Amino acid sequence: MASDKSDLLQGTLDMLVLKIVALEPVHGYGIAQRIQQISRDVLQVQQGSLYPALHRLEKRGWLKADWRESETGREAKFYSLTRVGRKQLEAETENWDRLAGAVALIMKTAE
Amino acid sequence: MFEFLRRYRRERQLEAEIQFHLDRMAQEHVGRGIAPQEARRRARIEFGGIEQIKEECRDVRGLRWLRDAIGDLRYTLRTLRKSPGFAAAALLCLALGIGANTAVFSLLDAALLRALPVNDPQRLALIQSASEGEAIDAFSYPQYTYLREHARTMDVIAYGSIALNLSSGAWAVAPAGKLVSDNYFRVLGVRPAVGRMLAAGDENVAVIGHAFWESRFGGDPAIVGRAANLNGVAFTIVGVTPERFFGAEVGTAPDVYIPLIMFDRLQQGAPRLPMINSFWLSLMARLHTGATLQRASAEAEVLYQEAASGSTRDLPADHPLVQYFRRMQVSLAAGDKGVGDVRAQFGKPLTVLMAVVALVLSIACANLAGLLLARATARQREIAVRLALGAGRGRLVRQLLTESMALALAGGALGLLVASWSAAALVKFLDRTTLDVALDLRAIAFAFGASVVTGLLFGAAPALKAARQSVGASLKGGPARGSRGRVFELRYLLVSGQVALSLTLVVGAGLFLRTLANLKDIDTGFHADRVLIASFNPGLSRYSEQRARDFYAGLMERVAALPGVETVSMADQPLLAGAMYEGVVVEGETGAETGGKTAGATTAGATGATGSVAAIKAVTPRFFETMGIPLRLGRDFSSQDLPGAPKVAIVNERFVRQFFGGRNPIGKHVGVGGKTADLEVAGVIGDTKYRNLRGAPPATVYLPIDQLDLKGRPGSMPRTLHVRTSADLESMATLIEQQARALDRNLPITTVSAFAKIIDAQLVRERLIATLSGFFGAVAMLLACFGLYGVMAYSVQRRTGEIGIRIALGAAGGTVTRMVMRDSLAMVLAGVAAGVPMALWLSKLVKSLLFGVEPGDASVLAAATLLLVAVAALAAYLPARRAARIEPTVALRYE
Repeated sequence: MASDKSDLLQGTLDMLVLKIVALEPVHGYGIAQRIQQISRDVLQVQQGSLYPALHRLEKRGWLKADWRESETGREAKFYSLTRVGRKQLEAETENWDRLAGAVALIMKTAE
Repeated sequence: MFEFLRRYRRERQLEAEIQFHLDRMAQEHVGRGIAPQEARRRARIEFGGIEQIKEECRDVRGLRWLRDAIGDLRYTLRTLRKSPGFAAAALLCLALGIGANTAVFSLLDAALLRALPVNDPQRLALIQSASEGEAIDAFSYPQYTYLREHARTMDVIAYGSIALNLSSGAWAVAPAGKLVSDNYFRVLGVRPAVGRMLAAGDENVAVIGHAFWESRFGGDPAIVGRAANLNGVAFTIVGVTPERFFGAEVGTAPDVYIPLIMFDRLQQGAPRLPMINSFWLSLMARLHTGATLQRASAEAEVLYQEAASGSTRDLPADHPLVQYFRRMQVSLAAGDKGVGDVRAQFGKPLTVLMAVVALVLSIACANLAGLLLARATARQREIAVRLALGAGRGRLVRQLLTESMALALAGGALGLLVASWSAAALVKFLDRTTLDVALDLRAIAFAFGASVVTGLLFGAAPALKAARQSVGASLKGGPARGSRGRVFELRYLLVSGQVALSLTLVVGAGLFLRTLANLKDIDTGFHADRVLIASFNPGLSRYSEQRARDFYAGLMERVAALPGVETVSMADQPLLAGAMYEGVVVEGETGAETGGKTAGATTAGATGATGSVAAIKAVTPRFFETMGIPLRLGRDFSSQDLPGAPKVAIVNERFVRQFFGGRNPIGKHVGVGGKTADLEVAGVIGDTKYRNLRGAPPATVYLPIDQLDLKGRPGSMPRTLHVRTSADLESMATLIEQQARALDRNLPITTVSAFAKIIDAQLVRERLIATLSGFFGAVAMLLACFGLYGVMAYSVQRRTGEIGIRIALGAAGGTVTRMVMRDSLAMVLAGVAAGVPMALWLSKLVKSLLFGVEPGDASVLAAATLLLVAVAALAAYLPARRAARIEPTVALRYE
């Protein structure tokens, strides 16, 4: 079950993470929080998917990480977008728009 | 190490990152009014499997293989520690196997493969000459200068050997001297360790070799500028060659380098530098950038013939020298590895040895593969469990390969120790301590490569087999239990293969041992076990003929008075250590004056002798007695055979047969060298070996040393003292040295040793191969039998139940023993069947190294086979006996 979900989310999760990080540098907990808040609790990110995704994106060079003081005063790992990451985000947004449009079209036409 | 630190830091960061997340979640709960402890618990639950997430993050980082490898290694160490016996046996096998291979390799490398330690050796070339296919490779000084001045594609250098006496006033030695052209060091690109090298315009200066500097001068840097007396000429030492430099001849180490143009001032007699027909120099060249070997070769050939026609312009076309030059062909060959008789002498034996040790290593590999297969079978259940739990088969193969690789690399590291020790021992054995066999990067790389290949060879089969096994069957008990099913086939094959290989090695060892024995037992014609020799060359120290004679007479008198001395005599050179042949004329026997062949091509143009040839040796009275050569007819030389007295000669039986048709020659006349038969034959002695042990005794003429015609080279009187003694040879050698020094402190003794050493030196190659192939043959046989024992012992253990049932059903102990022995012998005989043709084929390849025994010698083959089968039977008998003693009740409960 759980693995089905994460597989499904895989591509989308990467895009969502990039989008959130694009706004401002943020730590892992913050990313999870924002996704939940902005989607009005529709999307809940599993930590089990989030952290591997973050490390994967960092390894690919789309994200970079540094340690800074968080809002609570504690040191935390903040992720920010690299230039390659920004390009990737643009590409994925465009792709998503096309896909979402296409899906919506089918759903409407089929009614 | 760096990688490890980075990994550690990442690990800590991952930890901190996740901890931060957990703490924030917990805070959230606390904010909603939940107790901190409960809040932390809930956070942890919501977060999910922390370790799992960490693991996935690490996987993303791509460090998994490294972690796996470290884990595998740890696991390997743990399992090996659990079976120390296996680990020790494996390591010992590998250390010896890889060590022997590395040692032989480093020797082979030093002698045959490695480039000269000079600047850019790839552009060096050897200048070779050959007459009708026979290599001469020697040039005269005028030929060299012509070539050097006119060559456009290369820089040409020349070098030659010279006998030297070096005296410093306090002591005198006979160093190995090298005459080199003034561009020698510059063209080779050699930088001095101390001082400077030779340069153009140098005359009375010398450069000394590094080893000689250390042994003789204690490595004193103040050597530069020191005076040295060489052959009576004053020289100044200006520098020391670098440590690894040994000239261009592999296996030699010149002690003193002096300018080529000094040659005539250092030797007596007619000047040889201007002689166009005195061929004594070796030439090398460094090709200019852009020049190819072919172009330079063509140029050298043209220049050689130009120089030849220039220097023989006044000679008739049928003059021997003109003919000699015309027949000569000059060419260039790659010179990056230098030259050397070490290659001719040891090239083939070392290659054979390399093959031998490689075979031994593959037998050891087969053994280890067998052992690992046994372990893999024993671990079937464990592996099945791991497969069932989802371990990847690839992962499992990797784990098992890690084990064999770890063993191989550890064995290789130990092997390096074995190698450094045994390479030094080998070099000592060869009496070639000048060969540089210090373990360098190449040897280490070789050992590493050998270890990896070894690890793969013996690890692959067990690993693959383990990974292929089926989960269900193994968990249920496995098919191997209680039968000799397919599982064992590979192991049986391995044992047969080992037997085949070791049979080959044992046959080889037998052939080489037989060769050595044949040469040792050969009838030399003399008996010199108790003879000591000491050589002198007073001519080099500019002694007059009279002074030299006085020295020799005084020395013989003093030595004869020493206790334990039986007879004392002298010869110009000892038998088997220097040969001279001359054309012979015989009174009234002109018919014999046909055929024959001259030896000693150095002055071929000058002698050009036709007619029959005999070996010559000049000796004092009692030489035959000293050497134990029987006098057949007539008399020995006497103290009356002096320059004024009638000239006499003593000939051997072969000479009588060849030149006198077997008739009594006493009183007849023969002549050597010249045209007239002016020597009266005074006696006949038994035949002896002359030049080497392998050749048949030639017709030989002995001359009284005092009647020797010195042909314008007065004083040039190298002689060797022969002393037959009943005393201890070593203490006698010391005594003789003392007497010589007491008589004349400035005259060095060239050599002092037991005569047997000359024979040893002739047999060093044979002894090397015989000893080492014998040793490795035995090792191979033991390894193969160990392998057989292992397989059978294991098989008996596995079949305990089956054998128990057989015995319970009434099988006698003997039947069971026979059953096990039959299985063992089947493997052994299969190995023999494969090994015999292989041994026959391989032994043909070493035919040139054998003496007195044919490659396919039936007795050697039969003896080797019998020996191997007997030892194998012994190895198989132990498990067979154990099988026969199985108690059925115990056996049936064994499961």
